[in-house]
Amino acid sequence: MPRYYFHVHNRERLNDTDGTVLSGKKAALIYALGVARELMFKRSGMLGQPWSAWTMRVIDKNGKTIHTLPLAEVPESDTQH
Amino acid sequence: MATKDWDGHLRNRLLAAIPASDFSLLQSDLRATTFKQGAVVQEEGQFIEQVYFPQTGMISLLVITEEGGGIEAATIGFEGAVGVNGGLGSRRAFTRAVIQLPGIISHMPVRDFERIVSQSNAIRDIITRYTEVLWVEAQQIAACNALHDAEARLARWLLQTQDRTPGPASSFPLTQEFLSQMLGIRRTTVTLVARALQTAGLIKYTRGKIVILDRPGLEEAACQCYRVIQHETLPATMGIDLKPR
Repeated sequence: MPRYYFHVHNRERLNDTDGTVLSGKKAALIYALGVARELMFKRSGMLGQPWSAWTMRVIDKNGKTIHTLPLAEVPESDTQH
Repeated sequence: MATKDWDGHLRNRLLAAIPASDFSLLQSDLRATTFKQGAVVQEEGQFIEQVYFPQTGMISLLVITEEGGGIEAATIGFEGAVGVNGGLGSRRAFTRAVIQLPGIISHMPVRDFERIVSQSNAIRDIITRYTEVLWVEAQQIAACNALHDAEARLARWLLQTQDRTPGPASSFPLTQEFLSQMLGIRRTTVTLVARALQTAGLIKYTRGKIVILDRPGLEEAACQCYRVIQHETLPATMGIDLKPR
């Protein structure tokens, strides 16, 4: 199964150095949404920057971007308060 | 009465809080053993068989869900113990206890512990109060896991971990998988939040190892839960004097 990397950036780059093995592009998108929600839970931003300044990129093992998620556009899940 | 402590049992501050004459009842049954990271010393649902008093290292109490996942309910280091309520009579464990940081742990069979507890009001009193400490800690962490953000929780967790190691240590062998289970969040979220704390200059994070660089900064990043469960203050509010003898 392929490995995907979930980097988050604005002016800072927070790199996911290890990546996660998932079944495919769709699973990678679902996982990315889960990570984004955990990251954004109960917070308005990170490192002094609002979520509108942050984007998550899902990269495959060849370095190709397969999903781009502006964090401010990630829908809230039911578990969020 | 002076007691010789060749095996370092009194490095555990709960044991050190027991009056010397009562501690001497325990001493001959205590053994000091080195435990490896990841070892399970108590399984949820099983009868408690051993009582553990860490000298160094740390134990996590994990609540295990039906899907096999877990989340941490309490962290126990040299300020505490695992399984002491078994000294009040036969008890099943409600949590899995896992060695989180390797170290030397004093331990004894619960049957011997129970026999000694029945002879010592002082030890029974400390067990009762310590059980209240754990109860406060567990309910605070339950609220924290439900209500607070991942970064504040990771900061809180690193501070409570540092508090519960002698030294205190500023560097810990911790994998993302492990932290992911402690905090109940995905491994990738742990990586990204740790990178954010590193960018802010609070920690240094390399694979399998975390170094605390700026403790005051980390205290600012942590939620208020850290103050509630701080081992310097919580046992004292429950009437346990953890000052070493």
